[in-house]
Amino acid sequence: MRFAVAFASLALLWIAFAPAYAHLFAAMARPLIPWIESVQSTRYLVEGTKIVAERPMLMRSPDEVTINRQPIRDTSGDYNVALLAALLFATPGWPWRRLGRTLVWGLGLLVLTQLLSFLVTIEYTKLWPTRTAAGLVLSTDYSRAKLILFDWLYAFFEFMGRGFFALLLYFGLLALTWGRPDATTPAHAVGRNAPCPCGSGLKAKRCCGS
Amino acid sequence: MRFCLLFSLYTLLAFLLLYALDDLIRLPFTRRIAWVTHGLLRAVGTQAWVAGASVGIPGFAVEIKNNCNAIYEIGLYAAAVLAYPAPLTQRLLGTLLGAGVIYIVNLIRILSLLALGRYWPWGFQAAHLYVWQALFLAVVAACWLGWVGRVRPVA
Repeated sequence: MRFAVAFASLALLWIAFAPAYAHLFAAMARPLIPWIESVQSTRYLVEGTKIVAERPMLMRSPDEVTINRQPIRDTSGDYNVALLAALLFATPGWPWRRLGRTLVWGLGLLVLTQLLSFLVTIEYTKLWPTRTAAGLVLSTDYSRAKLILFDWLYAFFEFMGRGFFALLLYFGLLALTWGRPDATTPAHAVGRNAPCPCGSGLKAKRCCGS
Repeated sequence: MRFCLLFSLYTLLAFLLLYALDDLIRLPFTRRIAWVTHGLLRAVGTQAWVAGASVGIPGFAVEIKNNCNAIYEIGLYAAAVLAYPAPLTQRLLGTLLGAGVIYIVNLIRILSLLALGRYWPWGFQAAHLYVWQALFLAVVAACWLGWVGRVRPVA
């Protein structure tokens, strides 16, 4: 119930925040783009919730330039942030301080995965053959092996971007938090030969109880 | 930390396996879901038809695609369970039981979307893309938390 309320509220908030996040995300990605974008004079524009790459393509003569527009990211369906935050808010028994710390770590890592996904998408869309009036145009750094590699990478990030990164981080953060002994639990609450409460699978006397 | 590394590794392996063996695993699995959905509809006396991965009732039909077959969700859940430090039998049992629960919830998702598309078509898109997508991941999280709560000595 707590999850449903938190997710519904955060998802509604996200609708309002998505355009601002697109600008924020583009600003964060801007220093990284030159590392990967090999097509000179490519412009990255934020249009509403979309980030679009405009790649100029030289045709037969230098004067003949076609602009190829490719959408790279749309933040409107990017509900991973809302999902992770809702899952963390719905986790019972966490004090506000721990919740805040986990939220900051989780959202930071989630944005990092989104940046990585963004860079992979740039490289992948760059490799797409573009159909023009003059025929199919290939990127200068095109290779079949590279296309296959980025096809897999793109599919992986697309699959993980459907909320799976949020789950991966949520489970990881929970396991890391549980791994730390709770200061409020008395040391004698767990028997020396009982499995350690941190979940390591070891006996308490050989783990946190040693 | 060990759990996080193993979980990431198993998730990657699950993705590679499912993506590489798309024709061998995903397609038959998806068609089977369509057949089971069709069987359930017929069992409750509803007129229904099935063709490949598509299933329909009079007035509405859905094609079960990659995002709606729950196979990647099961892969992620299995990765989380198998990576957790617990006895092997409990991990295997947890994987099987959780996969069963996720499979059943996915059937409920498809049946509910069929009904929604037939009787409240205006709500279909939102329910399909947002509500069920998030709810389904919450179910995966609940399955894992439920299993961890049982195998973990102190919650």
